[in-house]
Amino acid sequence: MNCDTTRQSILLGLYGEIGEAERRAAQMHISVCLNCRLADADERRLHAMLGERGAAEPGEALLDQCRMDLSQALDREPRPRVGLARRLGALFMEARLSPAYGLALAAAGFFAGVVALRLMPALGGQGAGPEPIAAAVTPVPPVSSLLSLDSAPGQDHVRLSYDTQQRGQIEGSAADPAIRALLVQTVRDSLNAGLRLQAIDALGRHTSDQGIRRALIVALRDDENPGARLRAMEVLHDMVGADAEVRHAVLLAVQEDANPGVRVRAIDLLSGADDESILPAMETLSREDPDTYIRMRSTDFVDAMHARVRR
Amino acid sequence: MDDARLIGQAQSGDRTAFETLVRRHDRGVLRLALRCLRSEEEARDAYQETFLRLYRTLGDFRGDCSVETWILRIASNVCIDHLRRRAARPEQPMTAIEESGGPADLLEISRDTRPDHDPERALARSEMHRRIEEALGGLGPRERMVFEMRHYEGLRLRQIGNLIGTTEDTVKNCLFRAHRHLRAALADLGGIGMTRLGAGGDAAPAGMRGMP
Repeated sequence: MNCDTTRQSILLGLYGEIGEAERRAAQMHISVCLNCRLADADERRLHAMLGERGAAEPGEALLDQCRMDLSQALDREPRPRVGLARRLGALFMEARLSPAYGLALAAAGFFAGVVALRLMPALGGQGAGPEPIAAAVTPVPPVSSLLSLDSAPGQDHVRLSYDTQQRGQIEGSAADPAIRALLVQTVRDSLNAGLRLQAIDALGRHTSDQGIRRALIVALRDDENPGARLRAMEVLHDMVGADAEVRHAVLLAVQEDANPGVRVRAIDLLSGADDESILPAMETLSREDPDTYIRMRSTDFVDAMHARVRR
Repeated sequence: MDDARLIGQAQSGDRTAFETLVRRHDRGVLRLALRCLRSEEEARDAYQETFLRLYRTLGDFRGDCSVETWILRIASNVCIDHLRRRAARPEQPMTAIEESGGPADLLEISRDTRPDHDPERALARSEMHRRIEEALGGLGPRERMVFEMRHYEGLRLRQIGNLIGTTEDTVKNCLFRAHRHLRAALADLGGIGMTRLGAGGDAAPAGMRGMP
């Protein structure tokens, strides 16, 4: 690997955009090339400095204003023209993308078949049968999964057990167990980073609850979005001094988070915690972290902690 | 309810479904617009333009990418258009930001809230933010968009290429150009750029030179 490709790898490596082999090759080159070692340090310093700008979220007031403006603008818009073929395509797409919806359609088809056979006996090749079974004429709610199907041989009678899928709404304090469970599930499982952030915010008002703290710690540790990790850390701010588990999670963020902005903010939060047990880890960072800026901030932290201990 | 079903309902004229879709994705759109445009007024315009374009082209959605990708693609194009228009009238730089209290107020960038925080350090940090904003303001529209999406939004280079309609290599080249500019613009902060490079060392890597 020459200097040009090493410089490329240095930058892309900071963004996690190179493979392990390329990273090793670049490190090998850096270990023997002074210019590239300096370039590596420069790039890391710049990266950390730019990370200081932090992950950010727009304010709620601005977002509300935008939504209101849009709603008014939509009132003035003609209804979008969508052809019948496109609508059918959308219907097909829904069924294709959602197994539950597909199953619901299949179940509806099945029930429609039962109704048709009952209403038109000739189609079934039989005379007038017994009274239509109640299930066949009862409107079927959207089915999310069919659990069981029982039928007796030679008899026209089936029993289906199914779960339904319905839109629900719930409101109240995030401390309410049902709401809390939904919010925790959103933080953990939602693919939508915006929803995860909102859920973290909502849970952040109840960090005195240990279950909520644990969910937020998991978000701080595992969320793929640096903004969400940062927000989880921010809402845990008040618990850094009080809860060793939170403190440990924030220390882990300083040591291992991929985003320099998150790491720097974690150092800020730890500065408020009067816990000498984190000193050795911070001393190690102040000496060995590859990021110059983190080393500098860790040194400040260690100096301040020593000064406090002396007092 | 998933996005595909909401799109289907919106295509059938269900305005509530469309607004649900908007609420599901609009925070990311506004964040991107604020980051790139650094003007509350322009970001609001970009937000509205993005979702009106989405509404007008609902019938074009074929499901060959996720709804989120589709929306971000529209938002990226809208933001690039805004940056290009701004570049064409350089006499109106970032005044909207100055008037509304600075970029930190717009984006609620994390502040040093420690009770014992050092005012000198806070001042230095504030100055550093100002310089970073200034340096970012000097990037070209496409470089700016690529840098914001990669550095702050955490999108992969391939995703960015997909969003702005170009190749991964071109996105890499944009990122290199952006970093070169930022390194030069921020050289006096923290000794960045003190490195003495060999011939061609500070240019884009050999494989990337001459690319669009």
